Amino acid sequence: MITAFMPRALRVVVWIAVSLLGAFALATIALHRGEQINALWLVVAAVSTYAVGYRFYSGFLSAKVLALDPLRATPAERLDNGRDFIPTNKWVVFGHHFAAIAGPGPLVGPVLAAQFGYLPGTLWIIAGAVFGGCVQDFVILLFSTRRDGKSLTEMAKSEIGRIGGVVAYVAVLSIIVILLGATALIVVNALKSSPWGTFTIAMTMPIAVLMGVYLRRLRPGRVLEASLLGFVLVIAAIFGGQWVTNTPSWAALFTLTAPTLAILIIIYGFAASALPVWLLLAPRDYLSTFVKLGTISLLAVGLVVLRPSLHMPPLTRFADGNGPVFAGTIFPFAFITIACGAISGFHSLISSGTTPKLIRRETETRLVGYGGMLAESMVAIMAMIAASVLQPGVYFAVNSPAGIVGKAPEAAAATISAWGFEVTAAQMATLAHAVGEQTLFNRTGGAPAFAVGMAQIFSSTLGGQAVMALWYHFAVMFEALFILTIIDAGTRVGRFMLQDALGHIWKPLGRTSWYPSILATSAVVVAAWGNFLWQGVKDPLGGINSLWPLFGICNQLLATVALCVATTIIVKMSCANRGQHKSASLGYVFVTLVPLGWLVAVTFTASWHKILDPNPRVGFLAHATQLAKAGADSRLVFNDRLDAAVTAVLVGMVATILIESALECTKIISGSKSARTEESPFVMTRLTAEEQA
Amino acid sequence: MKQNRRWGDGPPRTSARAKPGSWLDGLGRMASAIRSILQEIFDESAYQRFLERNGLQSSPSAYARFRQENEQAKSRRPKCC
Repeated sequence: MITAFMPRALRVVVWIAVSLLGAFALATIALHRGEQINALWLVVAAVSTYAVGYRFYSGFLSAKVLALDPLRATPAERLDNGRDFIPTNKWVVFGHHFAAIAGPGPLVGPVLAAQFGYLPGTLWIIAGAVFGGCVQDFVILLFSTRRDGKSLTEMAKSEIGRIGGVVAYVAVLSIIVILLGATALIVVNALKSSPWGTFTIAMTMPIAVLMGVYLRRLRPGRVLEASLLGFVLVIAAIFGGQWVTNTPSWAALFTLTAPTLAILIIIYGFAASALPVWLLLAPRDYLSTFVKLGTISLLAVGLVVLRPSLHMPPLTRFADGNGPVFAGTIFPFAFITIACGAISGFHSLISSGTTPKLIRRETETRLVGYGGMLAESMVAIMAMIAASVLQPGVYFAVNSPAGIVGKAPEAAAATISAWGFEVTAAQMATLAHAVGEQTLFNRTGGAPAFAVGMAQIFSSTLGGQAVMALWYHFAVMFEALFILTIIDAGTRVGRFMLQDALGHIWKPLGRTSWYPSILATSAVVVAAWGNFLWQGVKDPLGGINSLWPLFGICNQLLATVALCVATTIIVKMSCANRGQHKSASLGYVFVTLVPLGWLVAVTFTASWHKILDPNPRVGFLAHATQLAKAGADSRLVFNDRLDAAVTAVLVGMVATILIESALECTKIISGSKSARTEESPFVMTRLTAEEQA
Repeated sequence: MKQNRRWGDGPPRTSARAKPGSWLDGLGRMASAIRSILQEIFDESAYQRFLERNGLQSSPSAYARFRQENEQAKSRRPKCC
């Protein structure tokens, strides 16, 4: 860091100044009432806290708790094969890791949680990242690195026990299925009745094929060039979308209903998993990453340069749990709605996947694991800002389902205005016209609200109202493209996991090249997430109300599993080192035990509410009873009961791993079991001082 | 020095004209680092390593072989939310 080159006294002064600035910014966003504040306060509060957290807390974790050893050879060095295990520059691994963990979650979660006001979400993003998410990503990355790049499931099995391994497996598969259903619904809600958005996304398919031909035939391996070409063509497609919208015959062709879009996405997911469609998928994946990194950078620069004001109040009346976007009080629902920007169990899969196989020095896990999550958290802060720059009335008009505010624009505007957030049907019609949509009412899911916020930020200086529609559709395209690549990759990963498991029952089913198995397992995975998507499309409350909390619970339960594994390993390390190192202290276990305790409280409380809460908007079973009494479609009743059952099964399984982990730790602390971790033996690094630099 | 460098090694010294430690040198190193990161993210580095490992020249058939090998590993990696 820059301060490393300063004299000690100056360093102390600089860090005191950064800490004070962060405290002042946090106080400003927390205590300011009645007036709008500038978005930069959120940025300053976050950046200062992250800087202090990285310098001091991650420093403490590195030196004391984990005792990072620069002389210990990593698997990337010992097992270097130029393919999976490659000692790689720390900044390159950082970029690679960040690109892998940054998904739609940190963009969508904060937008939805903004219904409470910007304050609860912002504080959770900052504190959750520094004390929870970054710690999880860092320790899992290090522990996987010390175990030759073992996956979370393998570590759970070897460090906790067989049940731990099974629970981790089921949790991973469940989160993939629910993630795909929830994110697919976001795409459906963003594209329904939007010929412009649908045309642009449809055009990414021929563009990807063109990129594939360029990569294979014309300039083999020049992915950056091909992605740049693809990006230019996508921008052209956005302009083309405007023409499509203004041409009635074409507009009719691309104006699709939510069920039609859902069916198309389900077919797409199946084809991506079961058919050899490399020419489409790989280039689209590159294009999506290119657009994602570009848009995040652009948004970061835009926020700093344009410094917009936040119109959303710090706290809204919906802190009481009756919010239209999703029902539930701040605790626990804000903490499961925002997962990826604060703490996300999914990250532990990346931290125990590709990344540990690239780490050149053990000490670099701090930058990659802890630092990578800080960068992700910053993306969540930007999303919170994008949602909060909207007028609250507009925000609620876009994000509220028709089942809550009514389908007719006038009725919806009247309901939202009655809540104290002024908005009119005419104002929404003007805004919809400005962004090139037929309507912006009831566009639940978070993506359209984020797109409107982003369009407002950029169009305020770059091109004005004239280009607002282009910015809006650029943002929609970016999110939809991003999510579609998650759907095709996730379906394939789910299919492989299922094949691995079924292979234990009947060997041919485990063969990834046997077509009947490929078709059958792809169909099962697609049917699983497709069911959740269909449920969301048909849900009178908009789907997001039930699916996003379910996804959040699932994601945080996976984080609970990851922190259980980490806590067990730290207990073993502390007990094994007792008597050898004075610094080894069992008290260090609190670095993972505290976030673990918090997550257990959050996820178990949220699960209880989602299953048993008597409020039909919160509890699945209460909603099922209400629907049954009203004589609603039996399918809707079944969906609610299924959601309740899925939640209960997941919570039960995580409770099992918690108990198993607690028993294991108790045995080790009491001395009735030896504290033996499954680390690879120490090997001295051969990297030269020059390579270390 | 140059022969010992490997893919993923990160930013080399940028230019003989940029004085080491100067802002120009720093800027060049940053640009070079960003390029290295992008090459890793977009599998260009992986392709170069594949060519080096197999002693191949870049060609449509070599790239097709690389894709086949790369896809097998990549298709098992989940994409984060």
